[in-house]
Amino acid sequence: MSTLTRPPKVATDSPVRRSSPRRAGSRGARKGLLFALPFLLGFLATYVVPIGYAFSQSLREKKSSGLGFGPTRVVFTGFSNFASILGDGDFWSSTLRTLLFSAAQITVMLGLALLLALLLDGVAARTVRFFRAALLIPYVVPAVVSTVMWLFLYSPTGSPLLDLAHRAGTDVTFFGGLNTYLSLGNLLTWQGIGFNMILISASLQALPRELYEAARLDGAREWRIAWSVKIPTSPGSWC
Amino acid sequence: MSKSRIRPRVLVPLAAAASLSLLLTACSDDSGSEASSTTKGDVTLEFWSWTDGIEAQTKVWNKEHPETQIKFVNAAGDTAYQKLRAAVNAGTAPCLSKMDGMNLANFAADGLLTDVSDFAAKYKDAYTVAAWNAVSPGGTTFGIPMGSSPLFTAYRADLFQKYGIQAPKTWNDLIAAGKKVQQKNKNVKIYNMAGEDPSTLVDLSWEAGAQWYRVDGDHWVVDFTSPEALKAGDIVQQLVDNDLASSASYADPGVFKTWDLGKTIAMTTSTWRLPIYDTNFPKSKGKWQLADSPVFDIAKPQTSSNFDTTGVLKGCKHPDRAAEFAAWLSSTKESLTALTDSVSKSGLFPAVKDVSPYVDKIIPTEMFNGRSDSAQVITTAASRVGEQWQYGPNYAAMYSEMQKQWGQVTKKQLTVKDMLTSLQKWTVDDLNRKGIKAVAGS
Repeated sequence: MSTLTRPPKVATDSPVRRSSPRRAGSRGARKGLLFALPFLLGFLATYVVPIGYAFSQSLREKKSSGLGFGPTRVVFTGFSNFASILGDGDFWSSTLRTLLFSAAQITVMLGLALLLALLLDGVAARTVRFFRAALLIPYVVPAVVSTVMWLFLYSPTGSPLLDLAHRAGTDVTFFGGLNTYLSLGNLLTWQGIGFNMILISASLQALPRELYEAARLDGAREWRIAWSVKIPTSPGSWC
Repeated sequence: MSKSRIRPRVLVPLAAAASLSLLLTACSDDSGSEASSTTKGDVTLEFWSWTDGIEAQTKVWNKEHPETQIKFVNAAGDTAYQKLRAAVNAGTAPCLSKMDGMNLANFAADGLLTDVSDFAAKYKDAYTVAAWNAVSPGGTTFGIPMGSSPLFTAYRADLFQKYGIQAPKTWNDLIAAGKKVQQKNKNVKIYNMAGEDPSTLVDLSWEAGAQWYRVDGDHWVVDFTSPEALKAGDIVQQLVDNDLASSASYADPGVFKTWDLGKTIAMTTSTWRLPIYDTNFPKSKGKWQLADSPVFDIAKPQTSSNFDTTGVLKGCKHPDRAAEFAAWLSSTKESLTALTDSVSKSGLFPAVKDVSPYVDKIIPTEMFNGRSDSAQVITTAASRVGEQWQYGPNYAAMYSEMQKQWGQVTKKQLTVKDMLTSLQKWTVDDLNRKGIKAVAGS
């Protein structure tokens, strides 16, 4: 027992060994801190400080005087800026609108991504690679490019989609009322579906194949396997 | 189509800049510390602009004026005004920068400009009264006018003939002509008003002689509901009520097809748009004609204009030299001749009193049928810009507020009069909240 607890008898007397266990711990902490320092400094300077500054500014207001084109001064106004925002009906209706829209759009997008991932999981590996890359393209297209592309696709005057629709004799528009939200949702889904599909697909790949075999032996068909095995056991991508 | 006041793309950065300014300007309280007297010796001034052809002109100036060297910076980009604000607050601002009239008032109200009234006074006579108003919000001069874009009308002469109407002399004529076109073809409109762009109302109010903002001694009189303002509002209301205007959005890349294909047959336009007619109206080339903008009062014809200015920023150590350069750039024959030449691609139209030497070069003659004197129309427009219009200290914020309500107006959910009444209250409240003295006018 004593041989186990006693430090091994090695001749070198490095400072590390001489220090007490407690001091060694604090020393380790210091080293750790040293390693974390570059990140910590960056984090403080570009994240914590600006947020703190923004918060302190949010308690202040700029005041002018006279005709408003002279010098300005900044006064402390407490939480009055917050009060006026929270009392603004537009703020609440836009928040609600955003929440509702996100709830619908994210649900649809994840549902489609899951469906695609399950389909991919069932086909041969070579085809998987092709479809994965193809569906990821919208995600890697720079936002500037996709913005311009959708501007033209949705343009009330120049859209090729509308042109086709009109030739087919229908009178659809992309904007106005519910259509605005559908158009917007379509765009976001187009952009996000590939990335989400990759995440889900990766977690499906990681599932042990034995599970499927067991399910098959029990007589489950592909849809049953997907529903009862794949979806519940691949939670990694759901959060 | 009077999209000259503000272009949608500018609005996002503008809103962002407005909110950012609250953040950034807070630690630099005092502004506009009176700059010292006449500069002696050699100096170098920084100048931000994003107008084509300006850089070449600064080189010409630099060659002739070794004592005042201009360091040109091309600040093109959606965030130019944001960058400028940040630079002022960081103390690294240029001495001069391009800005439009609305932003000049906005910057001045936020204490980001230098009062150059004393140095600039001697250049005043070269420019039109309306142009000088644009650089002197509240009576204090913060810059030098650069260019103007007076409004006039362009119309499809072929289609006017087809529908049996004449170029409207007054806004009431325009309404009558629009109704006549509607009787013949429901799908053809005489005018366009985009749901995101309330500039039509601004232009009409300016032309009707309204003063949304007016200085009266030590305070502002805010008047969105004066008889003149309501007269302008009434025309807009009639355009909406009778479905006389199309609703093509300027965010739509194909917006110009509306006119090129003849769905809308007239527009309010201006000098800055003349150079792009070629590209935008390939099918209707040679079928256009220019006319004076419709007026409210034949006896006192007025139009409106957007102004491009050169602002002198806070922290500029040599405002006298800055004003001297800016005035040279935008008022001397040497500089204006070069800038208005189509080679420079500046799209600039001068803000000086006599524009006649510069008009001919900017007219794309192949666009017009040659039956009206385009040069005369442009010169007339430049000479009759209403001199009463002023930008108040919260004009930019008011404009965003108006934009919110404008969409409802074009959708017939809100009347113009109700919008004007609510803007009146909003503007007075907002000014008072900022500590600025303001009262409602009516």
